[in-house]
Amino acid sequence: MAQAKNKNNPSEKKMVEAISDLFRREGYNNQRTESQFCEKFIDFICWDKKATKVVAVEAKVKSPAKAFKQASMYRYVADYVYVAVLRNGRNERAIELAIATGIGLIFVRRDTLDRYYAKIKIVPIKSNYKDENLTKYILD
Amino acid sequence: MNEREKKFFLRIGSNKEKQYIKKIGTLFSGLMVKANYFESAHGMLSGTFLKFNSLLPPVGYVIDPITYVFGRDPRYIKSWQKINKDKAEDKLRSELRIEANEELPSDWIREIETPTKAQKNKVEIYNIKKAYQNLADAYFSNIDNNLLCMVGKRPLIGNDFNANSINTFVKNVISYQEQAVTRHYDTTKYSDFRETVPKPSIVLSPYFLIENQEDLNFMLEIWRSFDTQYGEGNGAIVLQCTTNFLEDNHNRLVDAISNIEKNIIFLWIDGFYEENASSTQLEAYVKFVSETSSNGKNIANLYAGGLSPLLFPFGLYGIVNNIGYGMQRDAEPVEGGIPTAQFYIPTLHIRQQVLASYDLFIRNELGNSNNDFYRDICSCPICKEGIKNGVRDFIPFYGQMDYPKSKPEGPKKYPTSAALKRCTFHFLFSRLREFKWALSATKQEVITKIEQESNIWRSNKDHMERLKTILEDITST
Repeated sequence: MAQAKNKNNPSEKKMVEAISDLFRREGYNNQRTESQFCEKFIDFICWDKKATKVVAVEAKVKSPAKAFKQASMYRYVADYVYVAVLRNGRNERAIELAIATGIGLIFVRRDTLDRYYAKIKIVPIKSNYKDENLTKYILD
Repeated sequence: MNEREKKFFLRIGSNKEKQYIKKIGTLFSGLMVKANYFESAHGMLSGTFLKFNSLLPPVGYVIDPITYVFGRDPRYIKSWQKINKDKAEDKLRSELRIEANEELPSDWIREIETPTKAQKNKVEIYNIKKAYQNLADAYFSNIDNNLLCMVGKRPLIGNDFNANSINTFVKNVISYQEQAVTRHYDTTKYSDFRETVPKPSIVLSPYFLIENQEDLNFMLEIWRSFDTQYGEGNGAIVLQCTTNFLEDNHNRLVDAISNIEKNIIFLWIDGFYEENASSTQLEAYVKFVSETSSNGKNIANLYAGGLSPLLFPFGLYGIVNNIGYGMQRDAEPVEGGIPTAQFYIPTLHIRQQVLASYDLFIRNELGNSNNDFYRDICSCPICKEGIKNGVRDFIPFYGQMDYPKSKPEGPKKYPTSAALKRCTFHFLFSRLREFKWALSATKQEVITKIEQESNIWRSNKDHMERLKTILEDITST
């Protein structure tokens, strides 16, 4: 039973790979995983050529509420913040939280046997809290 | 009680913390150290105590005997230690007092997972840590009912003791505290000097965690024995109990404490975090302090949280704070790990990680300019030094991080020593300011202060409002 469950649930690493593909398709070629922001690690961060647009993503297999809480802190360093979750029949809570917080939502689903595909479900509201000095602090 | 007699003790927990003691230790009523740490750093600590005691006025010291550890799961006092294969069994048998005919648990000796060349002939043994071994020897060695043999194998319980062994145990614990520093100077080299070695400013009773009535009965016997055997005015009993026990047995505990002769009580409520406590839990603490104080007892909180200094006008006698890590703690220790920089928010009376603090400031729209920051968050000398442009300076100043020298390429950054120092000095200055303010404050002034501080914050202030309601109730009755 546990094995079957794991087989259907990719690790956060696989999710991040799919997210990376998504933003590469969107033209964000500067990418980094596990970027440290004080005591937290941002799962995925990417930015355009001049770092005028910065995107941060928190990927979570479980506990969307925790993911949104953590992601809300990324608004201090990124223009657009997303939470990425696995697409399944239980995404209502994540959708509610995304709408309530203005944080974007990415669905990750299995594409082929060992490949995952990420798609933006809800576009985030641009952060009003981004502090360029903190962004520089993270990206340097 | 004269308000000037109220106390703020600073607990030293590691050699690194000596730098803070050296700089501002004299501003506190005294220094406190846990006996296990004293055992592992007695040279440095004895010298520090001696130096501080020679000041005018002297700054005394207290050694917390932490006897409760012997009543908890032995894994908290044991560790894996590397030793030559051929000596492993003998060492375990001798230090854990396991007889030759007694079987040695097979999982107490294991191979080293990735041995170095030098460790080729070594194994690891699950042995009692040296500092706790020393304490067990000091507390139990001359007690005849095999208490020492149980240490490191299972928790000691009240039924392991009888009236005689309680008396001897209590005597041993008193004697340990009285002689700990003196013992360090007990050589010919210091023979002329020994008489001048200071005794602790407070001697604490032994204590174990009280979770039920049986535990309380056992502790009552210990406290009575302590009352009888230690007649000096500087004796204090330690009450360590769970939050639930305090909440459910409030009157019983107030009565029990009132019947003890000693007037100073160090209180440690296990599982009690002032900022997260429910109204009834917080009320149990506040009322216990207030009622026992009305009965002439002086309660000092051994692990005081952010709100405790506000209780001085309501009868609290003293607080103890660690220099680093959390202010409050459970009887069951957590793994230390690598220190994170934590910021104490004086107007919210909580201490939390730097990013979480920054998040609170932004969400509450506080600290946009430096003056806003000084007014609404903190104006201590450290904040004034680093926060020149309001909250935007906060993370670079208090949350500064870098890769460790040993791994300059990463993957993980840690707080720089400068950032940790800033956080610590800011915490100590803030707590000293709270303490000094509370010494001369009236009950009404405390309530007004909580109200004013609550007004600064839009959110995350429920704990302040809970305390305000409780204090208003107490004041009006």
